[in-house]
Amino acid sequence: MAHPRLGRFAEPALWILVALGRGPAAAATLMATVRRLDGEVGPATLIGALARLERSELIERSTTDRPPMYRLADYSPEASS
Amino acid sequence: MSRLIGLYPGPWRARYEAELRDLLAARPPSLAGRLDLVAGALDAWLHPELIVPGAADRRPSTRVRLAGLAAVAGGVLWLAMMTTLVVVTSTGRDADFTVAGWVVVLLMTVAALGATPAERARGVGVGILLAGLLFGVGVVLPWELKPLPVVPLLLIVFGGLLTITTRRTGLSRGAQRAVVGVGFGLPFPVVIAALAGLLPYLPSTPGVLLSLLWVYGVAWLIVGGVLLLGGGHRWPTPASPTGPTEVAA
Repeated sequence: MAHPRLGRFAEPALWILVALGRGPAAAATLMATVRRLDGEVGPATLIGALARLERSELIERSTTDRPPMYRLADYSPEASS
Repeated sequence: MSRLIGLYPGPWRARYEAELRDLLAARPPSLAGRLDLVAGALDAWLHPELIVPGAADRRPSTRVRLAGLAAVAGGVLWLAMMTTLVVVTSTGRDADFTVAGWVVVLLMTVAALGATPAERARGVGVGILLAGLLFGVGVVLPWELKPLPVVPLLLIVFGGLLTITTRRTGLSRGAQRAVVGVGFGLPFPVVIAALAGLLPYLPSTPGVLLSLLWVYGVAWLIVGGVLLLGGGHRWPTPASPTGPTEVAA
């Protein structure tokens, strides 16, 4: 799978991964964490970073939780190659 | 705020709108936050593959790209015409826009026909042809009789072409209404009122009034730009909220 370029979303994406290292979280929680770690970030930028991480299969989004919960994807060397 | 969210593609909204609204409700956005929403909408349109697997491989057809190109060209020519009209008006001279006007109508007709799905193109084409013929009849009428057929047909032709083309963009219903409403519904009644004598006669009206007509060209630039980016072509309908890696918790 082609990984999308992160571009301006790289920094918030990094902090999202750090935040998800503590466990699954909703977008609102991730927003608060990223703001605490990295300062101001817009809601659309956060969603854009989440979409790219999800597309890269680095994180997963649950379909049953409301609001949806994000978590780190299971690492698979084959999938990432 | 709903208007800004309406700028996002339908499938994107189906997937992320609730989360985005939660974030905005928790902390109403500043001006920078609003600009972030607009930039996010542009990013969403440019990267459909984030939501729809395989969308990056779907390129708009030549037909849709031609429609987008014609829409942009029509919008640019319209803006040039209106700018010239404002300048000419301010200097008290007269100018003939007949040829440029017909070229604009032709470009916009090409855009509308190109943007129309093939199965409906014939009906739309016949409608446009009839309107064009009636418009041509109106043009040759004596000046004092011109407003009778020409004015309603101006509304039908310019409003209809923009509406038909906008429907193919894949923008949300609200965004479509905003484009057509602000681009056509706002400036044309003013011009018609001026022609009817309710406002000073058009060529002698102030530049501010004439500049209202610019937004029609801007609307075509927006519609053409969206079509060139792929528009509804790259966003399947009905909207699919299922993303690439969703899992059951």
